[in-house]
Amino acid sequence: MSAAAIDVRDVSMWYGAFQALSEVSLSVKQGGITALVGPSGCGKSTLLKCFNRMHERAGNTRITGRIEILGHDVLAASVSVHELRRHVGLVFQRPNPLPLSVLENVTLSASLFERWSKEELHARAKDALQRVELWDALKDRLGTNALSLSLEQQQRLCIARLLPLKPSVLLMDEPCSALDSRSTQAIEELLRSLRGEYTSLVVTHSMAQARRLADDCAFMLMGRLVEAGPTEQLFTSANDPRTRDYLAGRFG
Amino acid sequence: MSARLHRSRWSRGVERLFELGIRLGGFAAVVLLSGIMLFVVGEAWPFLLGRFDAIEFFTSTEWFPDSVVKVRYGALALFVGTLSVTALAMVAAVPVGLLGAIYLAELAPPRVREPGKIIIELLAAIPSVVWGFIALTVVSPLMVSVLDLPVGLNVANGALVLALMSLPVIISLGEDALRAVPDSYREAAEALGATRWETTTRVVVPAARNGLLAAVLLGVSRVVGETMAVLMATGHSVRIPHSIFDPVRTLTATIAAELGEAPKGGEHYRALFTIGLCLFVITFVINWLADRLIRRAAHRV
Ligand SMILES: Nc1ncnc2c1ncn2[C@@H]1O[C@H](COP(=O)(O)OP(=O)(O)OP(=O)(O)O)[C@@H](O)[C@H]1O
Ligand SMILES: [Mg+2]
Repeated sequence: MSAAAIDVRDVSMWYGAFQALSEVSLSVKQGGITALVGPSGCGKSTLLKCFNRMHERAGNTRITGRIEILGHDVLAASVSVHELRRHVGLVFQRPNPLPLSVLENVTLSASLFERWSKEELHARAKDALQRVELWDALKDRLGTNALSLSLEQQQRLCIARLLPLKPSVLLMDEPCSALDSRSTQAIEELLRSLRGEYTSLVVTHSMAQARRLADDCAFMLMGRLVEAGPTEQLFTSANDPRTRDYLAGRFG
Repeated sequence: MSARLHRSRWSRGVERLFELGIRLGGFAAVVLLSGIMLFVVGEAWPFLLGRFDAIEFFTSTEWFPDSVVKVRYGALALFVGTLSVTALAMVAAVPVGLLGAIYLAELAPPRVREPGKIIIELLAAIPSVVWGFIALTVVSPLMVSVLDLPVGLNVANGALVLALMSLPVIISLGEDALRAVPDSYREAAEALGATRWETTTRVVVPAARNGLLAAVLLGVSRVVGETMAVLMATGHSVRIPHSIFDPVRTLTATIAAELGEAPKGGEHYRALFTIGLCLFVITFVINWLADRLIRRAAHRV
């Protein structure tokens, strides 16, 4: 039994006739932060979506290979995608809170899976909002529409709404790209504070962010996983010349 | 470069002409509509100032406009007639219409959705006389034989026909409202583990709430203003119905049935225009509400 939270073996994936992933293999350590980097269109978002099978929404997709998350084969036909998504949370590039109240946003996921009393739901919402440091700012405004929050608050809320389900893995697709640098710093601190408790996989276009944040780093290029390893090692002494060139900013 | 920078006199002229045409069209529409309104008010005005007695008009069920001995203009039964047929029609049409809209917008596969929408639009294109004819020749005999009623022209028959007529409005406007909900909301809900149905009920329908309400209101307004089909389907009896199988007469049907016989400019004629004015006010308020809801929905999304 390895300590891998996510184990990807020879995954290839097609949107119709277009092959977006080619024989990707990757192992993501449990409890750490792993950054996924690579130029636009290389398949980072696609790979992330495969982990909780959100790629199936595109329709007409095909996938081969094997993805294990905490020992479960998540691509198996018998897997309930709803249960899977409860354990593998996804944060989107653009903060996308639902057009409901702050409280409803945080409690929605929990209320989908179990029946809770109002008090229990409220307590869970409080925990989650405290975890992302929104509680003090919003505790008197739990009824306001989440769309009226600032972008940073919206993104914090989008992370908070995953937490009541106690997910095993947090997938983040460029969680800071819509935010200014101060908010980015705040979200990064939040991610750091979740380290250990959650396994995070963060897609980023910022090499500096990958370096600041990630224990491990994986580099993708044109649907392939080129190289993965501890962040410092990858940045200082990558094996593959393409990895060296990309991380040094020689192409993007 | 310089040749393209300056548009020709010709193209500017054409543009002016178009602009003028559009202005004239809009102006004509406004003038016409206010003209119609002024006409209705003008025709009703002498009655409103003279014979009209609000207490009689709104609380009495005695509608004897051309009685020789005692003329009465109590329109309560007509209001109740419209209300009962409308209410019953909406009880049937609102749940079916909303579920239909939800099915078409959220759950149906494309190969069902497209033909479905075409059928709905065809349904909307059936003229109301045809619906009246169906009420008269199909629904009525069916009610007589199945329910063992003496007559098949009643509230239930009218409501059924009106429900069928308002369904296309509710379904197609409701579907529009649901389709206007950004897909990112559905994506977000599904990423939290919501099923298709949970996504629809917990997220999409609440997000489209105002648009759906507007669809229902416009369905109501269609039903309130409908004349020909109710005239044919509800029987002719100016009285407060005690069951849904009693015949009634609505405001619209009264105007259609009596205006031809009422001498132009006479009291009866002007009383009918007063009823018309009431209908105008009712539909205006409903449409205004619907419009506000749609605006608010557009504002939020
Ligand atoms: N729904 C889809 N249907 C068809 N092709 C798609 C779809 N989504 C993505 N693709 C294609 O798959 C490839 C990988 O896309 P993906 O979004 O995973 O890239 P990415 O690495 O996340 O890029 P970016 O950094 O710009 O977000 C791209 O060529 C894209 O055009
Ligand atoms: Mg992407």
